[in-house]
Formats: sequence, C-alpha cells, structure tokens
Amino acid sequence: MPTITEAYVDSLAPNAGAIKNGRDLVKKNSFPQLNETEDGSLLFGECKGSGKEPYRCSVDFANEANPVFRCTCPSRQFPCKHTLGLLYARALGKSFERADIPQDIAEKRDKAEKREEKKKEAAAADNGDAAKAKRKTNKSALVKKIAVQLDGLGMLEKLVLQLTQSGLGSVDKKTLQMVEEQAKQLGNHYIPGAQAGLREFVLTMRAEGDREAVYTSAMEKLLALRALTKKGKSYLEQRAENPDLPMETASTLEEQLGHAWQLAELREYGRVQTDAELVQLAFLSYADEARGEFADTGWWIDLKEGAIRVTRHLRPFRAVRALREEDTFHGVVKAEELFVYPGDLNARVRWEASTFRDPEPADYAKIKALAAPSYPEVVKQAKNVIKNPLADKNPVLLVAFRSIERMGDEYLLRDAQGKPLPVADIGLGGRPTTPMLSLLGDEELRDQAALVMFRHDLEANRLSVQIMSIVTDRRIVRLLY
Amino acid sequence: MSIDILFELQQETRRLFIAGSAMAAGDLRLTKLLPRLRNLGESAPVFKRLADATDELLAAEREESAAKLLELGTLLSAVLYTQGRTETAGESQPVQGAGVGLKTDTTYRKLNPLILALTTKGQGRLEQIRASFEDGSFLDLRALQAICSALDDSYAEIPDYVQEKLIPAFGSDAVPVLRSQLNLQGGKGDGRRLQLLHRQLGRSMIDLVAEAAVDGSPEVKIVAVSILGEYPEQESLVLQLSREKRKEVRSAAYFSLAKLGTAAALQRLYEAAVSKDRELAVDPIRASASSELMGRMIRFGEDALERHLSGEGSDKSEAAEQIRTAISCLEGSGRQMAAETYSFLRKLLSSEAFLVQETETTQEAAAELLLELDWPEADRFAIELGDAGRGSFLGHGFRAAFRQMPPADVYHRYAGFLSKGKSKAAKELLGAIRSLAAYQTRGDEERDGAGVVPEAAWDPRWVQLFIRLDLPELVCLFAQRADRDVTDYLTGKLQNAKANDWHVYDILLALFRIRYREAPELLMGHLEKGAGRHLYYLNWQHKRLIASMPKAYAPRLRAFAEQAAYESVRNELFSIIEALEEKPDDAAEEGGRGLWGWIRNKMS
Repeated sequence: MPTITEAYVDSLAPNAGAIKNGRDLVKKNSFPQLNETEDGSLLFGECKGSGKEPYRCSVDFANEANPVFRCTCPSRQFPCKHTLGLLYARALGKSFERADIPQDIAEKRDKAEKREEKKKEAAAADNGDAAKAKRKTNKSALVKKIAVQLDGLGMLEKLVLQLTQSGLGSVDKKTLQMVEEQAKQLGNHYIPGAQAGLREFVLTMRAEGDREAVYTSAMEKLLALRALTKKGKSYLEQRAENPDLPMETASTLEEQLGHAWQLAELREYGRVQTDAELVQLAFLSYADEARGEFADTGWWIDLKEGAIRVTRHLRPFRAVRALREEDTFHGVVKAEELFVYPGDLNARVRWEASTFRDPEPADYAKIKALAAPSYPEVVKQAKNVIKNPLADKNPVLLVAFRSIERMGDEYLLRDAQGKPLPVADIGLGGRPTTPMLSLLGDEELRDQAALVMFRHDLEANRLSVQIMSIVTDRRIVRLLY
Repeated sequence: MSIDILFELQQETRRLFIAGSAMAAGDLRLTKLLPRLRNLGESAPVFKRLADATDELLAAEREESAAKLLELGTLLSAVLYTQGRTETAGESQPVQGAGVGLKTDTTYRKLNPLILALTTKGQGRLEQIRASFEDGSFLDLRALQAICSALDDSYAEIPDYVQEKLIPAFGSDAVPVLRSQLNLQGGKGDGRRLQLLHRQLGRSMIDLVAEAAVDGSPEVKIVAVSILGEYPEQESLVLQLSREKRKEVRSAAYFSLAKLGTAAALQRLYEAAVSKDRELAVDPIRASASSELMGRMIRFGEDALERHLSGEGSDKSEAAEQIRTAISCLEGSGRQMAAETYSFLRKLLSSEAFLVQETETTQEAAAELLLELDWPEADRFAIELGDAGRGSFLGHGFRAAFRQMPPADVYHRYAGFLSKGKSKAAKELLGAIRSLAAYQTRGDEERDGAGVVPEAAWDPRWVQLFIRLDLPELVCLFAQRADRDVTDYLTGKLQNAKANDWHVYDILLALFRIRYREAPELLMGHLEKGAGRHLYYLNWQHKRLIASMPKAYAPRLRAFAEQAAYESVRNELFSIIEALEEKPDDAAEEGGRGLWGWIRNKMS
C-alpha cells in the first residue's frame, strides 16, 4: 500500500469541494469505525450519514496503482467524500483497528481477479493470433464517413472564400449569425475540430475592444481555416480513394479535424512509450469557449526523452459537475505505457495505469540537464514549428538561462553565450508571471532552467516568451499553477 | 531592407482582408510593391514566390480573388513567422531579486479559487479567503501580489481581513510587494499599505511616513499622522499637522499628540479643547490620561462655569458647551484626580442657575461622572442631590446610596418614592433599580439559567413591594425562595398569561429556581395547553426548563414532543428527553443544572 499523505488524497479528489467535505468528515468525527486488514491492503470503515444506517466505505489497494473505492452512499461523485474521508483519517493518523476482510469485499475482489485473469487470457490469445487481428474497420462505412467529412470541409471552404471576398470590414451581426448557423451545420459532418475553428472566428469577431487587433487575429483565423480545409481535403480525398491508407500521424491534422484518438489506435500506430517517467512543470486550467469546455492542461517533461509533453483533460461545460477537475501534480509519474498523440514540439500524452514517487534532487538535476542551452537553436526550433499554418502557435520549451535581466520594464533571459530571449506576458490564462520575477531570490535568477511558452507578435514582429516555471536544483518554482 | 517590404506587403494584404479580396484586382498600392518584390526575387526565391502570388492576386478574376488572397496571406505569414526578432536594444541589468523565499506548492485547485476571490467581484469571496487562510494555502508566492492588491477592494471586509490576517502572516516577504504598490497619493488601500509597511519596518521607514504625512493624499496622510505619534522626534511635524485644514487629519494628529504626551503636545491638545476643535480633542485627551491636562480641563471647566453664571445669551450657551467638553474629557479618568474633579462637580451641580433644562445632558454627564469617581464624599453628595427633590438625580442618588448604605436603610430611604405612582421620581428610581438588577444578573442566564439579584445586597422587603406594585419581571429577579406570597403572585400571573407570552417562561424559570413544588406541573400544563403549536424553535429558556423537569415527567414530555409542529423542534426535544431519561435517579434534585450544562455543551 502506498503511504497515504494528505497531498495524495487531495490528488484523488474530484474537486476542491470534495477535499473540504472529506476533511470535514474526519474533523467532525464521523467515522465511528475504522478498520484495516492484516496485510494493510484494504482500509474500510463506517461513516455517519444523514440516514439511519451508516455508509460502509472502503479503499482497496490490492492493485496499488489503481486503488478501488467502494461506498454504499448514493453519491455520483467518485470517489465520494466518505472514501476520501477514510483516507484523510489515515493520513491524519487516526487509529485503524485490525479486522478481517468483510465478506462482500472478499467476493468482489475474487470477481475482479477472475476478470483480470480472463482479460489476460484474452490478451494472450490475441497475441497468439498476432498482428493480423488488428481492429477491423468497416471500409464502406469509413468511405461514407469521409465523404460526409469532405462535404463539410467543402462547405467550410466556400464560407471562408466568401468571407475573404467580401472582407472582414463588411462582417456584421447578421453575417456572424449566418456563420454560426453554418458552424452548427458542420456538427453533422464529423469534423468537430473544424467546427470549433469556425466558432473561434465568430468569437474573435464578436470580441469587444480594439477593432484593428480583432481584424488581425480574425485574419489569422481565416488563414488557419483555409489551411485546414486545404490540407484536410487532400488528405481525406486520398483516404477516400484508398481506405487502407494509415491515418495521418506525422502532424496534428487528424486532431485538428476533430478526431479523438483512441488508445487502441495509438497503440496500433506504435505511439506507445514504455516505462516513461514524467514530472509536471506547469499546470493551468482554462475555458475554451469555442469548444465549450474547460481544458485542464499540464506541461510535463519526459525524463527519458527530454521532450515537453502536454496532458489535456477536457471537461465540457455541461458535464462539469460529473467530471474530475485535474490539478497540479508534484510527484514523479511512472507510467508503464505512455500514449503519445501525433503532434509537434509538445505532443499530447495520456497514460492509464501509473504509480508515483516523490521527486529527488537528482530529478531536478536531470531536468536542468535536459534544458536547451542555446537560444538561437531554441528560436530556430520554435520558428520552424510556428511557420506551419496548422501548427500550435505557442510551443513550450525548457530552456537553460544564465541570468534573468531587466531593461526598464522589460525582462529577458540570457543564455550561457549571452544571447537574449525577450520575456513578456502573453496572456496565459490571464495570469501574468513577470511581476513575480523581481520577488525571486538570486538562487532562482541565475543559472537555472525555465519552462517558457513562445509567442510571435505579428504586429511588432517580435518573438517572446512567458516564463511558466523555473527549475532549480532544489525545487520547481511554479509561476502559473 | 527586405524585411520592411514584407511588412508593407503584410499591411496591404491585411487591408484587403478587411476591405475584401473583391477589391484586389489591379490594386494600386500592391502594384507599386511588385517591382521591388521582383527585384528581390532575383536573389531570394521566397520573394519570387511572393511576387508571383501578388501578381496572381492582382490579375485574378473576382471569383478567384479570395483563393489568391488567402494563398498570398498564407505564404506571407509563414515567412513572417520565421522573422520574429528576439534581439533587444539597450543595456540590460540582471534582476536584483527581493529574495522572497516563498513556496509555490499550493495546487491549482486550492490557489485558483483564492486568486479569483481576490481579483474578481461577486459573492462568497470573503468565505473563500478565510478558508485559504485557515488551511494555510495562501502562503504562496503566486498569491502574494493579489493579496496585497486586495487592500484596495471595495468590499471593506476583505481589505480588513487581508490587512489583519493574511499580510502579517507573510511577514517581511510582503514588504517588496507592498512597497512597489504603495502610492502616497492613493486611497484608503495605500493607507493600509503604509500601516503594514510600518508594522514590518518600524523606525527605518520614518522618512517615508513623514513624507506621506506632509504630501500624501488625505487617506494616506491620516494613517501617516497616526504613526508619527510613536516617534517623539516628530513632535514638531505633528504639531504642524494638527493645524491642517482637514478635520480628519487634525483628529489623527490630536491622537498622535496624546500618544507623544510631551509638554508642547499637551499644550496643543488643551488649545484644541478650548477652541472650536473641542469635539475632536475630547477622545485624544481621554486617551492621553495626563493628570496635568486633566487639571487644566478642570480649571477650564470652573472658569466656564463662572462665565456661564455671569454671562448672557450666546456667551452663556458657549460656556455651557465648554463645561460639557471639560466633563467629557474627564470621563473615564476622573478618578485619578477625584478631589479636584469632585470639587468642580460639586460647584457645578450646586449652582442653581446651571441646573436648567438647556443643560440637562451636561447635568446627566456630570452626575454620571460623580458616581464614576467611586469616592465616599462624592457618593454622599449624590445622595443629597437626589434628596433635593430634583427627580433627575434620584436615580444617581439611589445608586450612590446602594453603595454607601446598608440594604435596610436604602429600602427605608427610597421605597416610599415608588409608591408615588407615575411620578417622575418613581420612574427614575425604577429605571435605576432595573438597570442595577440587570447589571447584577448579567451573564447569569448564560451560566446558570434564570438570573437573581444577590440576596445579601437587597432588603427582603423589595420583593413584597414589587408584588404590591405588580411588577412581575422584577419579582422574578428578586424572588429568593418559594414564599407563599411570591408563588401565589407568580402562579396568578401565569394563569392570566397568554399562551405565547414570553413572560411566561421568565416566571416559570423563576419558579423552578426557587424550587416551587408545583413548577414542573405548571410547565407541563402550560405545554400541554397547546404551547407546542407555537413553537417554531427552542430557545435557551425552553431547553433549560425542560431539562429541569423531574425524570417522572419523561413520558408526558414525550407525548408533548410528538405533537410539536416542526421536525427540528421535535428532534431537539427528543434529544433533551433522552438525556433526561438517562439521568441517574439520585441526581434528580440537582440534575437540572448538570443536565443543562450537558445540553449547552451539545448545542455549542
């Protein structure tokens, strides 16, 4: 069983409210009974609820990486506050009596084990049948789907051309309403990514404030949509002709069109890294209005590969209450299988089962060693990405710096060769980070590594970065979250 | 420069995106750019491609123009994205960090709600800030700025809380942020910043405080002036500021002078007290507690009295105001100069010409001050004053007498006044008795149920008198034991009372207190008469009464509880009754009290 710390329990909770409620249960002494089994793999107890009968809750660590929470309460939140409370009671050092495993849980354990075995057998059998037994796709259905997608892209293309021809200056409320209507229709064409792109255009045009800036970014949106329709069309046409062609994994095109990669697909395309170790360097959650969801975004460094990876948990606005809100994570994640999505500098990743450990000084040293030393190189790398019309315009990289310097109100990073990299607040989730720089100490300001996000300012023709975190030999100074 | 032409081209394409590609054909400005592009294209292929794209756009049909413009735009922005400059002009200096060693470990889910609460508007913010304070998660580098900025929040409780709790917890780490935010010309929030900075830095920032006191905005100035009071060397500045135009600044300066307590400071306070600023000066003078100043105020009061007695019209009323100021200054500190104060008050309250209706509030204040001296001679004088037949001093006289005389004498001397029905004297006296009794029983309810005055302090005849005068609430307070006449009177009152008359519970509590045998039955009867229908919640009286019931009543109480209209009331009743049933038999007599303590514990 892992050592249960408060931070660990916090990280299990689906949201901040659950943390508070779980803790309050312990504070109010709502657990008349707390038990653990001889081998310590199962914690269980009774928790007073509003009803006559107490809730019986348990946490089963039979599989350490994937604890099982059980509770007799009717809450839809998972894990519920009672199981969290049970864990907090443990973390806060309440005494647990030794007891035998309750009958019902023993039965459930057995069943789960059998299920596991069956799965393994099935997997073994699959492997026996070997490579051939790939997922079968229904070709005619695929072709049909592609045709609908192409249809949608055609519609979008026409719209983009129309808008360009008549000019952004002539776009009024009525036009925008029409565009929105079209965006709605795109919903029937299996290209949610393109649909969101169009919505972004509408939101940009509707934004209040400086008209000139609005035009500039609306123009960029048009260009991006144009690139998407063009590339998407040629790609899909190819696949329509030959459905056996593999999916596009060299770029994020599939994802931009709106494909949600399944783990099985990623496995099929060999995009799995084994025994990966990741450390989260920064975290931010923001609302993506065009897609109608919250994006809980984590930036991680892959300790083996050195790449900056991104995790993105999407929580649609209308399902917010039912979904777990991701959080800052301080430990080192060890994932048996790391699924890497197609992407540029910052590929999105996911993992299913994982364990974690506390970071050690050696980890920080390792991270620092992975930081890019030379800014001309880094800048080249970033420019190479952002010049692609479909690319992520805000790549994130870990760079080493000799010093953080200041010139009037402007800040900059300097590398070992004395080359500068301008620092600015680029509106990451509305959180400026430069004001915090002057509060740091000498240790943090000299010879460390910084996680930075790039932004190219078209108007000023300037490439600058926002510092998200600073990695020292002892800790990660998180300037975001 | 080749980059410049890229920008020019960008400007023109952007213009066409806004105007519409339909306008592009043969566009003049684009045409003008073309030769230069061609020129550059000879050496760099990328310019050639741009030139071609431009050419095509210029030549395109209306229907084709959009595609061409998009093509040119795509090509151009791809080029521009590779051109972003990163060099900087000018000399840069390494950042000299403030070295704030704060952690950045608070997780998003804990930190973000706090930052939102500090930086946005809406309800529930203070609660969130409190929660973050209590679990310590606010002690984070990233929250510091937002916390210090919240000193300007328009919802005053937030800056109050932030100033009181959060920022002091940061200690010296908050200093660089407070300093960078401080604006001496700012508002109230900057006053708070100055105060917090001073709390951290103390004397080392006195120059800044002095600057703020002279040049700051009014809000900052007021804070600065009050800080200056801690520094004797700033005396002359404070003196100067005590003549400021703004009332608030002068007031702050007076308080600072009181803190300084130097001869010049006291002189200035005296001047203020005898001038138009007297209202402002009163509290500082009280705070200074300087006997010298008190002495001067007494002499000033005596002079004013003479002027009052000899003066006419506006002089007279001005003198009255001055007397009032002198008395106000002495309030709370008169005892340290009891003899002088007494002689002044005696003079004042013996002057027939002063005791007129216009000066009534001053008379009242003077009489209060007289009692406050807690000095036998003063008390005797107060008794005399009361006896002099001036109704307004009878209450004071009574209070003095209560202190100076045996209970029987007090009764003998004052009981007669009460029989005079609705006279002013009777009213005064009753008021004095009520407030004295309330003072003596203060807190009793919380501690031990129904209050009662200390038996030894009062003559036993008072309670009989109150029965005769039909004053049930005083009877309740004065009843010491279950004498026949008392119980007869109170039970009689009970019978006539209406169901939800709150007096009922006072009377019942008094009956329980004096251990009247029938009390439980009376309560039960009252409850069964239908009081349950009117019970929306249980107050302490209900709980105390029910907890005082003998165990034998439990079944009847249960039956009553079943009838209660509200579930919450029912549940509370049941829990009290359960406790009652668990009570061991031998504790039955004393049990009420123990049980009450137990219930109070449970409720808190």
